[in-house]
Amino acid sequence: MELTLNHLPVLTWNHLNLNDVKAQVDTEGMTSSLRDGTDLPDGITAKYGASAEEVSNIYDKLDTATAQEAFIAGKFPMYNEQKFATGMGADMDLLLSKVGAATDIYEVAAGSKVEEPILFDTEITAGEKLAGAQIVLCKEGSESTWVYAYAGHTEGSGATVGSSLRFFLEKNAKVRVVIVQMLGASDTFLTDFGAVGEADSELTVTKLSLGAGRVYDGLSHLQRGFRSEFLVRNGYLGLPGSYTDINYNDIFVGKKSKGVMRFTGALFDDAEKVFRGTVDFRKDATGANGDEQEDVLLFGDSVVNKTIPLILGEEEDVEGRHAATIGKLSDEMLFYIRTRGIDEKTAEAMMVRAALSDISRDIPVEEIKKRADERIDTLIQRA
Amino acid sequence: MDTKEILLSIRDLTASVEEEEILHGINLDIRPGETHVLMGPNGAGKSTLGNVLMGNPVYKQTGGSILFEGEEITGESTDKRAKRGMFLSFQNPLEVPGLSLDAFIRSALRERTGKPVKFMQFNRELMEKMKLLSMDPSYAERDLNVGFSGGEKKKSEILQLLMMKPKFAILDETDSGLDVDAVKTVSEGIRAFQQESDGALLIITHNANILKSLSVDKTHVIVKGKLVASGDASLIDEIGKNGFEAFGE
Amino acid sequence: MSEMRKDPAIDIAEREDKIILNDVNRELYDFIDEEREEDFYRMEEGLTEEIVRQISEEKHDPEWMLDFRLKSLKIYNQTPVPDWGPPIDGLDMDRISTYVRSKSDMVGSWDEVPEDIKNAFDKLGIPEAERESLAGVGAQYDSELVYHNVREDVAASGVIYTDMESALTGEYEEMVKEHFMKLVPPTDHKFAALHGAVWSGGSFVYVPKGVKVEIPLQSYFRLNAKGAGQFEHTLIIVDEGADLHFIEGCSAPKYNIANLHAGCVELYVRKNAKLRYSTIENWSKNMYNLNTKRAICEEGGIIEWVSGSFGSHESYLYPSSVLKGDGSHAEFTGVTFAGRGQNLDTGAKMIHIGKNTTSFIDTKSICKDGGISTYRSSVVVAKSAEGAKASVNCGSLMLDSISRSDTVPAIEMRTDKADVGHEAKIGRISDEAVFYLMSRGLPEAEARAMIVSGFANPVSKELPLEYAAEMNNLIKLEMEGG
Repeated sequence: MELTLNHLPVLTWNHLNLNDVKAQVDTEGMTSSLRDGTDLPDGITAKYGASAEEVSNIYDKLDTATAQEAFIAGKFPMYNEQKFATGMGADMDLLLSKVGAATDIYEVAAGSKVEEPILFDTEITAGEKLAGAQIVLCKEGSESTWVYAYAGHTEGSGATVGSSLRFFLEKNAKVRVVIVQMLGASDTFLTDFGAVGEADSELTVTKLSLGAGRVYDGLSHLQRGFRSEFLVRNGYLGLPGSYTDINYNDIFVGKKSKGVMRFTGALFDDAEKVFRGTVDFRKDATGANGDEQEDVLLFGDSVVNKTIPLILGEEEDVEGRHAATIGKLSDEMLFYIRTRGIDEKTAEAMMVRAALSDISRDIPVEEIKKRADERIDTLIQRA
Repeated sequence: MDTKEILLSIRDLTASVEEEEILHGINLDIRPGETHVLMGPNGAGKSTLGNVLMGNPVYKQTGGSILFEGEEITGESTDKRAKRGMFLSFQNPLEVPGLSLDAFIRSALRERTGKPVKFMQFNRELMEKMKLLSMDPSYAERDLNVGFSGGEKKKSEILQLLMMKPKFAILDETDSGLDVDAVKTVSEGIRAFQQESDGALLIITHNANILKSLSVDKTHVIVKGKLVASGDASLIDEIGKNGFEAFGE
Repeated sequence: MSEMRKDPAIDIAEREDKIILNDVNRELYDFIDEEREEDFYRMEEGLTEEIVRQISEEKHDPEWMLDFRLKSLKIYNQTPVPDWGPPIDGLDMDRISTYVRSKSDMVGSWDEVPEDIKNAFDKLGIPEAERESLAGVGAQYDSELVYHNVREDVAASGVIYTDMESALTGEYEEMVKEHFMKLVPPTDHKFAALHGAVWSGGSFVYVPKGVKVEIPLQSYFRLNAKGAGQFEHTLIIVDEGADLHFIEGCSAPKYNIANLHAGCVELYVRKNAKLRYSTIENWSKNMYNLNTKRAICEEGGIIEWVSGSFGSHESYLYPSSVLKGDGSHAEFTGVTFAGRGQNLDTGAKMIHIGKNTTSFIDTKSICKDGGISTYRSSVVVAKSAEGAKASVNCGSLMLDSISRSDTVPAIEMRTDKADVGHEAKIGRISDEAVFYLMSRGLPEAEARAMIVSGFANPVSKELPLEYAAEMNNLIKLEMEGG
């Protein structure tokens, strides 16, 4: 089926082809669970296979639809059809419902501090098509860490993985989410994320894209509560022939909320990448602070890199910043490394590896971290 | 004078930055094991000389020659110069998140020797040198220069000097911005380099403190892109007393 | 015109004094001169083939131009309204007269300009500005130029500065035909097509090889008629190694029905030539300003845009630079101030095609009293543009929380042998800065106005003095308008 994903919240010139992306996803034979026999630690309970109606009721109860805004002053409607917004948008939900993917609902009990990461280590078999959805309800004052790894011997098989995650953070909840994708060049990876954060909540999302040939990566976080915090670290390797499409929205509603989003990547040969990143200050989000940075290194005659970083503001008492650097390593940095006898090519590989290792060290499961680092080395060598 | 003995020979060197000529004909010979000091007021071209010798593309060598061990290195890339045994300690070392200090030094050594680095031996030596420089061992695994204080950054540069053992090292304002204790520690590191190897040094500074415990063979004064005086270590004291005015500043 | 020129420094100081002493006068732009029906020729409202034919006939178009107009009309009818940007539902072409002109002909001496039109321009200080510091002046009133003059020495150097109609029907017809709407074809977007169909007025400038015009040329556009459109076409060719500064100013009185401005500016910058194009736009707040400006640079050519956008109800304005030649360079410096009832969508486009091309964008957006300001841009680096460097820097200042400020910058790179840097910031006036100025005795309003002027300074410092002063006056006006 054809999906329209990763909508830019405010439209711009159509000829740039940045307003959204059309993705062809083969749903034939797609199965519907990403559950992996995970034993749940104390403090976490699960309800597997919730129906669409149950899910809808949960959204109503949590009042997650406040993220919707029919109009941006004087502008065409913002894209928003979901009750609980994600970065990819409604078509991703449509895909899940079409393949009959049920939603697993997890709950982290109030006040429980779960130290052990909840690990979903998914082994993808050749040609497999898999989709699944999760809602994680993080009760007041709870702390939890969620790790998702996708890998397998899928090279050349055209496997597809679709994952939809929604996190609701009650007051004071602290959540870390780590997503590591280590699929093959012919594989498609759809990774969708939505979050709502109440007062004093803290959400950290770390994502590494290491291998899949087609990556659709969306995230939307409604920072609804006072003083909520959000940190994103996203690293990707755009290998030859690959397409990466990213859309992240950080929406500030709560006063004094703070968000930092960092994107680091490298593109090789004829890799193509589209990055949309939005810092969206809604009215009354006084004292909010949003900061977004993208650094891309380009290696190859035919790379295509598109970047559109938005700052939307309807509150004056905010601070917003976006910066991007696209191209080569800075002359200064290259000179420093070369004074130590390291040639340009090695220096470049070294810097790409450094940038990604800097992200992989956030992986709290040693075994996954090791695999990610090995994967980074292999891919950089191959590229 | 037998030119073969000379490690680094600079002749009529001119260089510019953004079309403006900064160095107007520098001549300088440095022999193995010698320590030269280059002093001069701000903006005289001290750092420019260091960067040009190391081939920083921001600086343009517009004339003259640079011979290293008798071979012309003008136009050669920075990493090739480093592989020949040249080294530059930076005034403002750069930060690299994700790359640890020890991994960086290991890669640099591997590049220079073309051989894998023996892990145990490397580690032992690294710890030894870090101790000498009063660096906490945890710094080895920290990201290169990330979150280091000014003093720690300079120590990290001297640590790289000690580990890489170049034939010729330029120390660009290694003492700038350091407190008294840090200057002393860094200076001890430099002395260790002088004693352990026959590596030559070109120490760029405008402060005599770092030189107190070092043996200095020659001192040069640079003003407005020209070497206006050369002498032995006593020149340092003279500058300490009278400043650069006597040299036409 | 051979009066003694004063020492420029003294001259500037005196003028600055005068400007500071003058009270800001809101009437300056909003005065309405009732047009007496019998003095003006006015096309009936709406847009039909019949109307386009009539305009063509009025203007004595050559045959090819009539064909061009009709083709453009067809494209206009087939092209949808943009689905991005400010909504333009308030604009009804059936209520816009596309052609209004004074029945008197264009003149070359200010004294011969009809009294009422002269009064209007006098109030805007046009002849005065000319005497002071311009190489040539054109003044357009509604759809046609009413006055055109070039200093003798400038004309003697071979510089051509005339109205488009004279150029088109006279000896420069071929040159016009070769360049007219080649850079901005009618297929570009709906309002480019509209322009192609009903354009009238505007200026034609040719600067011959190697000629450096030391002082600026200026065109002033005034749309005085109610419910009318202005569709002037500006075509400038700066030949190899030549140098020109061109200034345009725009204003209109406010009516309670919509006016439309859909002008088109095409700039050809030849090898090693340089053109600076400065605009202070102060259309009234019932104006739909759907303007298209584009420059193309050959090898080593330089285009510099300086742009101040203050007026109009809604604006779509993104001057584009096509850096075709190797080593060509473009700069865009702009400030946009959106006040009550304004939705200003402005920015720039840079297209790098040649090797080692460079571009800089530096913009400031300010919004207040419910105004909406959007910075929109695109920087495209083609595969061929090896060694290109581009940087974008945009700042937004919000003066209250009923206004809105958005930043929508796109970057597209198709080579790894280029570097692009981008930085955007949004924020408000720091209380500390206001406090600091107030502690030195400035009233709060003045302190805030001063900070806003400072924010816009990168633009005002690029403008000739009297324009910088005008811009600061406009900022002051907007700041007081709350």
